[in-house]
Amino acid sequence: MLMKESLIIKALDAALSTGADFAEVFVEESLNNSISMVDGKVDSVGSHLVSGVGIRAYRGLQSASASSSDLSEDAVLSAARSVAAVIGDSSRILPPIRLTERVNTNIHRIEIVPSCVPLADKVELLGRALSSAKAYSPLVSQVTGSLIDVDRKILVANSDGLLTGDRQIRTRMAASAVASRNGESQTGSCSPGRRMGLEMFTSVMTPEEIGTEAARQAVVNIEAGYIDSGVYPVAIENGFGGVIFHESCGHSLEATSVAYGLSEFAGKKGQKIANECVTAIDDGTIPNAWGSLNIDDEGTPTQRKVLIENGILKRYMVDRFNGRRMGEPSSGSARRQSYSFTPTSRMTNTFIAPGEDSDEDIIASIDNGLYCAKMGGGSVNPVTGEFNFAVTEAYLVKDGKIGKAVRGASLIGRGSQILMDIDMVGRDMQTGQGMCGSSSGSIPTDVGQPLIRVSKITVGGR
Amino acid sequence: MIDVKTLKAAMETACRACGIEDWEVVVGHATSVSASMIDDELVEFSSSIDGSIVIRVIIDGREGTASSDRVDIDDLPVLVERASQASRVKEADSGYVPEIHAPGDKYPEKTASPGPVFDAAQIRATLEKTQKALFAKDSRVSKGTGSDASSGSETTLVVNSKGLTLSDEWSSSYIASNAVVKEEGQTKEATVFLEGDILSADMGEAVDKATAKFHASTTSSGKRPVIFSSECFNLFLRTFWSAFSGRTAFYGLSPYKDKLGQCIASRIVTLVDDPLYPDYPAQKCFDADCSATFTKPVIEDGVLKNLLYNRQWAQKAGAETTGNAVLTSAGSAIMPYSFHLRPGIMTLDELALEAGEGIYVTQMKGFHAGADPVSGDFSIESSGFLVQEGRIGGPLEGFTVAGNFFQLLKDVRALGDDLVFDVTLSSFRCGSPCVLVDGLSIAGQ
Repeated sequence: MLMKESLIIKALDAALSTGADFAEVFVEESLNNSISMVDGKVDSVGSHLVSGVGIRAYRGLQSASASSSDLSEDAVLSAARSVAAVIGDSSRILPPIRLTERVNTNIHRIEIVPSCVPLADKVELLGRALSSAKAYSPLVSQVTGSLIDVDRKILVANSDGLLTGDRQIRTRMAASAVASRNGESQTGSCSPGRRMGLEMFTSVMTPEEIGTEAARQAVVNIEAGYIDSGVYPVAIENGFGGVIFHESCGHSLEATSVAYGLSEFAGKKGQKIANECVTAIDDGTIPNAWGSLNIDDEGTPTQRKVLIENGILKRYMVDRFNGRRMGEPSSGSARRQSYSFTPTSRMTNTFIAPGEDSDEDIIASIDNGLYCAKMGGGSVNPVTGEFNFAVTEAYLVKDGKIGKAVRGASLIGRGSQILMDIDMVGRDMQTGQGMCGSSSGSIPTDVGQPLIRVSKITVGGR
Repeated sequence: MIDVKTLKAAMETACRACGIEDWEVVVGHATSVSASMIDDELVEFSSSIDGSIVIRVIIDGREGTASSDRVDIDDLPVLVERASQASRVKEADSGYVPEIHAPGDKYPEKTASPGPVFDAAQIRATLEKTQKALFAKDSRVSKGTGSDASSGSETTLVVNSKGLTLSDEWSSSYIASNAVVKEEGQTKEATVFLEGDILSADMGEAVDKATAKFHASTTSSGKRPVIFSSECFNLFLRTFWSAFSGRTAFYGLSPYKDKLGQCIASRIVTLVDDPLYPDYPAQKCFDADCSATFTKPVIEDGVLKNLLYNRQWAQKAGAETTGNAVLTSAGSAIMPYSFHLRPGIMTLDELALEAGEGIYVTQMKGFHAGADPVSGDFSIESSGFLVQEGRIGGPLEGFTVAGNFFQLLKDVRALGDDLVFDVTLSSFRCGSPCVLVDGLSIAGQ
């Protein structure tokens, strides 16, 4: 147990002592290991222990929280009392809290726990990726990479009597390649991750495949021309292409913005917000997926939620606190980077479900447009719905055929419009991994989709 | 905060047990209070006490580090062992001999006192006052308008096996207001930040900026001059500063390798990194390698004068450290301090007159994905105002500005007379005036 039960109960009592109607204690101990290599050599090795407690209390629609990296009884109770001081100023005697432990089903089998593997073996894995990238082409001038593994243990207890916990292990390798020619450089990257141990390098992608993919992309880009900016139809490939839904719509369906009416989709449940061919899902229950969890950071089991079904808005992603304002129960969506962040509703594995169009038909339908093979990240303003995201590998499409590579493109638009303009959805859904940043910090999330067509979107380029 | 004597004795014991003679330990302690108000409700309040400890050891000429949030003497043997393991997987580097820094350097004096620190009651009061003022300023200010405020302080203690002991402290406070305004079915918003004395903050500019966006149109695609607001140009500096890192250049990930003394920018561009900038609340006298800090031009009158170094990368490049080491959980890295573009002499109206026909860009989003620090390419979602016949005109939105940062530095035509720094709780901040740049690609209709 990460904290003695007696201290947890004292902390809950202290947090509730001035009129709060709910209190929660979150304890975390995570070991974050990282290795980075440049030019075939180890550049840095990091090993960081994240350890501390977050205490939170609500009174109605007001929330107060405190965190401390000091887990001594004095420090924990001081944090709890600082929460109580914000909630109210009158002390009261409460009935004793009794905690009942709940053990959750673990759906994420881990074959090789990374912290049990010698550092030298991890260096060898990363070195294989970088060697493959360098060997791909003489145009590859530099390769860098990192191997990160996280072993996160959490405990959640609250004044409803819940006591539960989870152990979350994840692994990610990132390779980045630079291709250079005539004094100009372009980059490519590949960074798969899973809620898995080191077995992901045999069951998901080998280090050689990761390095080769990064180098391939860099070489494509150094040989690419620049795209003429304008408004085009675009086909966006599966995998990390799903960032289009994540940015254009996903964030705007989080209670973080919906609860305060700060989303363009607030109050639109049951209404048509997307083309009929769009069904979108947030599913935190996929075994070993990058964004999966057994429980969220408030202790609620994660769920599979159909957010949009055939264009109709069905559900939001809700955490416990914002759910109060919305009159909805938690959907198991509360997440936080660490104990020092206040949790809020976030995505897990979010994707557009497979549709009925063939990839060939989607490309053939475009007379003059863009095929986005690989996407970078993006961002959104949930209030206005304005979003942007980067294209890291793209090709012109002329008369229904994929043509020459182009680089430097970005896509911008408004979420509510783009959802209507997705008019073809392919059949082969794949996911890509990212770190999503928001008010509760940086968390692992999967994005995904099949190949889709957007009938028109503004493409920025040179 | 743990005392020096106890820390030193515990480290000596833990290292002696592993046969380690060269070590350094850095202990940090930070406290902060923050709150968020939306409309007239205090919806979130949080306080934090954060510790950190970073151990650095040198074994057989190889360096290893380990770190923890938990500052506990009893953890030191485990941390030392983890740092030892990290050192073993590093190959000995012929170009760099790590060392623990000995006393004897002359460090500069700080000229600014740590910024003010505010308590929970003061933060709550200033948020209430700010929110009332925002709603009172314009009837179009709408539900969802919010303000956040935060105040915190941080102390750092360095102790090492050579007998050096250093300490530092700084504090910072900020307030941010996001005004949401509605008119005729349109919703617009704008955010304004203020650092320092948040109790007397006037955040009404957020309302002015948001209402100025009503009835925005998009623009046609093509190449034209762009005036970047200070806030926007700061985003360029924050994204592309790594091109001036000695490490990045060493690895060939920057175009500025072997370019010292060469003209890389317009002659009016002078870019300075100043750890002792007069109003800089996070002034630093020593860096994470315990080297003395100093002010240095990176670009002066368009000529590349300095790259930024810590001891490791300076030694590898055959240069002197510039005192830019910053501590990470994986050891010493390179980071600027107060990194800013020296202002020019033109007002914004004069810049518009100089531009003639163009765009004044006041908001840009998505640099983390839409800009590549290695190639310099960027394509960024933007909004702002049309510049027509030498005057700033109506609002524009829904367009991108694209180009290459390394070329952009050469295409700077004029600089504004203002200098605005971005607001951050870290010790790295960027500052710029308004900047007029020629020939950038605009994608709109």
